[in-house]
Amino acid sequence: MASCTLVGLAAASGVPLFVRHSGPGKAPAYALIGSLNGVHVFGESHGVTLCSTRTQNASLTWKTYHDSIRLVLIRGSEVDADSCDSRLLDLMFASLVLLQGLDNLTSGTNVERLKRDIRPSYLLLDELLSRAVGSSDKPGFSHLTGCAECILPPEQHMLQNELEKYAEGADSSCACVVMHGQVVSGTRSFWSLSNTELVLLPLLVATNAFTVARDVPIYLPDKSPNVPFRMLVVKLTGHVHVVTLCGPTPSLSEIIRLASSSWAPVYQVLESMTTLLPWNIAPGLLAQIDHSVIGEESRSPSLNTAKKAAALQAVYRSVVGPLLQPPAVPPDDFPSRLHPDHTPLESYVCTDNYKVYVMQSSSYHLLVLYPPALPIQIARKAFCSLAKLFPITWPHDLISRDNYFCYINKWHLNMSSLSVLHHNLGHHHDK
Amino acid sequence: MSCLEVKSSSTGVLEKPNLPPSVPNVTYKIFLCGKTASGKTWTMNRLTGQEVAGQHVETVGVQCSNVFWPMKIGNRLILFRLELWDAGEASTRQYTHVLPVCREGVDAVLVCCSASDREGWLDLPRAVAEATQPADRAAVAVVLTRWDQFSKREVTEAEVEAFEASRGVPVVRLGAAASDPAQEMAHTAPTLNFLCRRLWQRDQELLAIK
Ligand SMILES: Nc1nc2c(ncn2[C@@H]2O[C@H](COP(=O)(O)OP(=O)(O)OP(=O)(O)O)[C@@H](O)[C@H]2O)c(=O)[nH]1
Ligand SMILES: [Mg+2]
Repeated sequence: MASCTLVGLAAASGVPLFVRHSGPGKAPAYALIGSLNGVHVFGESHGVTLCSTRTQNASLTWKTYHDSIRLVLIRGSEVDADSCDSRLLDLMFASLVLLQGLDNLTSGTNVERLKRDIRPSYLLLDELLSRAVGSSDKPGFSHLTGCAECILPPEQHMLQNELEKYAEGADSSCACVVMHGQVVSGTRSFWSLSNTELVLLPLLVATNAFTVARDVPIYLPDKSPNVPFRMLVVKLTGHVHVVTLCGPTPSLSEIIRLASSSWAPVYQVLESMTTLLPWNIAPGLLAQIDHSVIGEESRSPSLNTAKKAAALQAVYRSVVGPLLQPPAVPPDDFPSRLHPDHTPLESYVCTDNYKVYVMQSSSYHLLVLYPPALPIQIARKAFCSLAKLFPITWPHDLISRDNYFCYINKWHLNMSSLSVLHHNLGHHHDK
Repeated sequence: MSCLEVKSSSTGVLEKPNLPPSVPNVTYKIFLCGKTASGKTWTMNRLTGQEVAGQHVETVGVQCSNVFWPMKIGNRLILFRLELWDAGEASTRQYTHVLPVCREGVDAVLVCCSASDREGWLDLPRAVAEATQPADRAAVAVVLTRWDQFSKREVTEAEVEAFEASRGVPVVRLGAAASDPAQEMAHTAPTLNFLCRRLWQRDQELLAIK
């Protein structure tokens, strides 16, 4: 497993603000951090902006935000720094804004104060880092796709109605139900948040899942970077939280009472959603998957769950973006770099350890991991029958539903198909 | 009185531990107050069986956690639900909505004070006096944190006893966090028993007044 380190520095003075590290080994020493900043400053003094580089055993990405905070991502790995790393840094900076507010973060003159203010964001930064190295116990892809991760339970319609009633009662237009950092349902105004906000809010809830209720002032990095909202989070069951963004009212105790009374009638439905874990799909559908498609234990004994996650993430990074249209960008913003006159829809990657078949279907990317020895034409055939079975057929269904219309329109695409398959693989290989 | 252990940390507001429906429930609201880094969040995490942080991270906003604690009073088993309310001091000062919601309807206030903070200790009588309003009739106790950090203690055992005697306010000490859950329970159980007993007594007193 590769390691990943995030360093934050005050851009003007070069004073280190924080260092977060995930994966094996230790975070780099302060002397090295100093030099990393030094190289960047040296470039700047010659009119050059150093964006990324690669050493023998690490790739580095620098990014300076609002001339005040510089983030450096050090990835100890074989892969080159790419646009994904730059996007990850953006998410990390947004994580700081989320809890501190942009002005507080960028206009501060007191470095010691700033260091302390940043600490509450560590949980979120660490979650992003552990996802980046694939060590998170809940492997997700939202940091890569830039899209919220979703779960579609069979009772989605009913939960959506409950949520809308609840939001109205809470005097809020922006509300969502989340389970383990994945969105179960959201109000229209929730889905109109920016991609960054849609990725970070569920993660913020997931990183402090034990409290029963919270009232946290948060800034929306894109929509409201300087005026905080109250994020009211109530834990309904051991797995499910309901979140509302509110103004001065209601109070936390009022929202706890409201949540207890509004959601009690659907308790069984909420509880039954745990049957969707960890694959995010109904057991009935799961049973229909052809075992030969996803590969059995004997076919890839060398790949454990973490390695599978890493494999899918690596393929995602190398294919989606450079070749296939990335999900978080509107279609017309995407002149394919390699093939200006046609749009690639399918691709595959083979390595010594695995084979991954990738397809783009309308707004979805489906990635399927196979054992390395499986001939590619068989992989493709298996893939196509799987695609028919899987939520890749959902868009048609969803478009007809009013409440998801904006969701599709805004190209906030449900990547659950991706994690479905990934989790699925994990299950079959590790039991 | 005796108690038994119940896992509480993973339940949401719609849930409660599996006990026969005949067991009566009582709910109490407890507010943790004290200056920044005095150990409010640390105490809440200890009492709710959560991991505790090695480094001070300011709490942003307000958070509320439940402890379910079944206890025998007389020969009757009663399920206590303690709602612990914790607010970061910085947020308390920055936002006007924070303190009122924490204070509203409290049954007990725990004033946290770090044993390694001499100034905080000297200021404790004032902090205790300001912790409750007479109308609340809330029970008050002091939680002396960092008592386990021996070398950093700025408060003596004798001072603690003198404080308890002169103010009539009990001082609770949780001791170091144990990595073994069974041992950790042994550390926190006396405090939870103490709190429940105290809240129960207070109820009886309030009933008697009426
Ligand atoms: N060993 C030990 N450490 C403690 C104890 N109480 C607090 N600490 C340490 O002190 C730090 C700060 O305590 P917190 O509970 O976070 O402080 P707080 O009162 O919640 O502060 P704010 O949220 O800023 O208002 C903790 O992270 C612990 O490292 C204790 O009883 N024993
Ligand atoms: Mg705190």
